[in-house]
Amino acid sequence: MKKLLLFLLLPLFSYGQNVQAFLKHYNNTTDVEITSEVAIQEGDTLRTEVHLVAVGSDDYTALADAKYLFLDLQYNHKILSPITNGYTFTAIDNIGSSNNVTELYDFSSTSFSELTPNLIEAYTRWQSNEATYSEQNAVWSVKRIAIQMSVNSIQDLLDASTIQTDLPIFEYISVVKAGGADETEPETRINLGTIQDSNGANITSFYSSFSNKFQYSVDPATTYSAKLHFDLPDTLDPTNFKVFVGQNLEQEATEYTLDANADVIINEVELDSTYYSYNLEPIDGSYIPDVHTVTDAYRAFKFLNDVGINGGDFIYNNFEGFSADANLDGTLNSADTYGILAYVMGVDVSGGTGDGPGYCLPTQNEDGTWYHGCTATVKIEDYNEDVLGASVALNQSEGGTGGGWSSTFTPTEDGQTFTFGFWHHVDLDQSHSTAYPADVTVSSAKQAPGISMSAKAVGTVNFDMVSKIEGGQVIVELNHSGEPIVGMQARIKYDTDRLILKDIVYDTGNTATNFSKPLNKGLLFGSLSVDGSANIKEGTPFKLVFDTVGTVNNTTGLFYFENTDAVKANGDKMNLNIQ
Amino acid sequence: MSYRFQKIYYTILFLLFLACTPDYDFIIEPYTFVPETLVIKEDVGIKLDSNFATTEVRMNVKLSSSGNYYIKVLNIAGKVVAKELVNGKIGDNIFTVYTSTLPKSSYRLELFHEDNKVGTSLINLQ
Repeated sequence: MKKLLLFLLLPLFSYGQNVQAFLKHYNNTTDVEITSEVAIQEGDTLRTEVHLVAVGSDDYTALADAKYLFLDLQYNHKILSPITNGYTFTAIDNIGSSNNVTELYDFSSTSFSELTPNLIEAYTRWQSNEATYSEQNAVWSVKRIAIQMSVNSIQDLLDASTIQTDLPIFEYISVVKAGGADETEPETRINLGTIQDSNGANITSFYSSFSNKFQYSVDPATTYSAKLHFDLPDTLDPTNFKVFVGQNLEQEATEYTLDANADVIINEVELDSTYYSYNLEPIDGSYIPDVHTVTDAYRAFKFLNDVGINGGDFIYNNFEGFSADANLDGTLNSADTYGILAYVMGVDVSGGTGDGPGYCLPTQNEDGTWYHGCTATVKIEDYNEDVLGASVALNQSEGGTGGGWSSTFTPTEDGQTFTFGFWHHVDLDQSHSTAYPADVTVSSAKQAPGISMSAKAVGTVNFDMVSKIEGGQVIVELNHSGEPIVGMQARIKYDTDRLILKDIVYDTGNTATNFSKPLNKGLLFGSLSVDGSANIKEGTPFKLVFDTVGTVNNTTGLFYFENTDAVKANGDKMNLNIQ
Repeated sequence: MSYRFQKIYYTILFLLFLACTPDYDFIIEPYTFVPETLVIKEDVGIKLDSNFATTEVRMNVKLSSSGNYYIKVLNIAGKVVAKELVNGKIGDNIFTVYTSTLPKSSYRLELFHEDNKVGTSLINLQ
């Protein structure tokens, strides 16, 4: 009987592919392994390695068919700041075949909803939406690795004698931040993963060794480091920004790229010495056309027109009024509002209207890149009505104070962390600027009476988007049946090698102003009722018609929605959710 | 019988034979060639011929019933970035996922019949 049972169960033991993944942390300078008992110091570089081990020799043998590995890690970005391009797929590179494919994907401020050592189960639950990733997380960021072996297999990454990886399949290095010793959860997690054969079949089991959490510990630094934190809104990817920092104006400034937590670490700073943080700049400015939208244009008109019966009951505060002064001539008037509207509708207004000054709004260069010259980095303690608002107030007979724009900082024995706000001129809904006034001083800020417009989106408008092929043409329809809105816009990218825009069919209502503008391999389109007297008509307000170039079998992936925006009649910003 | 008569006789006989043959409606079943990398063993599912893509990748969508289906492309947080309505037939349906417009990232492809998800796959852009 026992022999029969063994015979029946033999295939399970013989053909099982039981693999475990685990992480190791090392001090990248000393190669000392870092654990919950052995600490690394703030300012040092930590190396995180990903390893695999087969549970038994049969599991190792059965991995000969495994070709594809997919794994998600999650690190604490309040403690670690990964170094740009500081990663390698060491074991795969060591094989030497050029046909193996390796990719790393970074998802800043993202966290997984579950923690189970069964990685395939987590992977399956994520695929079925039972487990989810959420964005705008304050602590965690995700690294996703995907590996596809060509001639080789996943088995080739393991040492045949130890049946585990000698070299890590993936490793990356991070700077341990100043203040990291004070943070909780010093750990890196494995969220989910799978290993598959060439037919896409998962291996028998794939677990995280011991648990999902791989802990390390951090000691305070013995030298002083300064941490610059930039209070960026969720719409901006911090890792897409760089800043120049210098000590004294005579010394050459050093360029730093922000990490996932929008931090920059300046090591070995000199106490009581003044440093200069020069303006924050995007590395890739492709987000810039998303900054100023229908909500900003609509709010500018409300700022100008909603002034009460005496004409002096402004609904904007000093800084908002300054920000709406698009041409920076010291007054908010119709030249500003129509200039903003013209820009939103796709007109280049940087040169002005001919008889007036130019508008400090973004411009597109000949190579298709975008630039906005009117941005500023401001110390967060000055980003309020008491300091900055008083400095820039419009219509002042005696002029403003002129202060509030400084971005210097001085590390001291008691303080080495400095926070800055970031602002785009005319970003009236603060979609891509630090929320004004900053929370740290909001209690003392002078709020203008009657302000009711939220800086953040207050709700969601769902638009159902369908693309299809009809009569040899590609049709994209946006169907609206949700919350009433007076304005909306969308920026899409489409495959210009395969599609030629033939027509845009609007059915938005009788009073709305429709607009569209071709962008670099994309299209901006939308509609706005400037006076808010009518909502965008429900039904199919927008229909895009494209002719095809060559054979187009279907439309999946031919379009990508880069940015959307919607505004209600009261000026509230709405999230436009494409379903 | 003379040779000439036989020739006419057999020709008429042959034509009569053809005339009396019942009319057959030949139905040519549409055949979808499915490359080995896209073969799906299950009755319903979605499969790409590679987990990685640069400009486009072929996709097999295998269906158990014909009708309107939606193919959705979602980012890591499950937000829809692209959606297509396709008319699928029973069996294998070979489509193309065009990827040159999408930002380089890792996406999930999902297949829906009405509101029911019937398949999912991952695509990693290079």
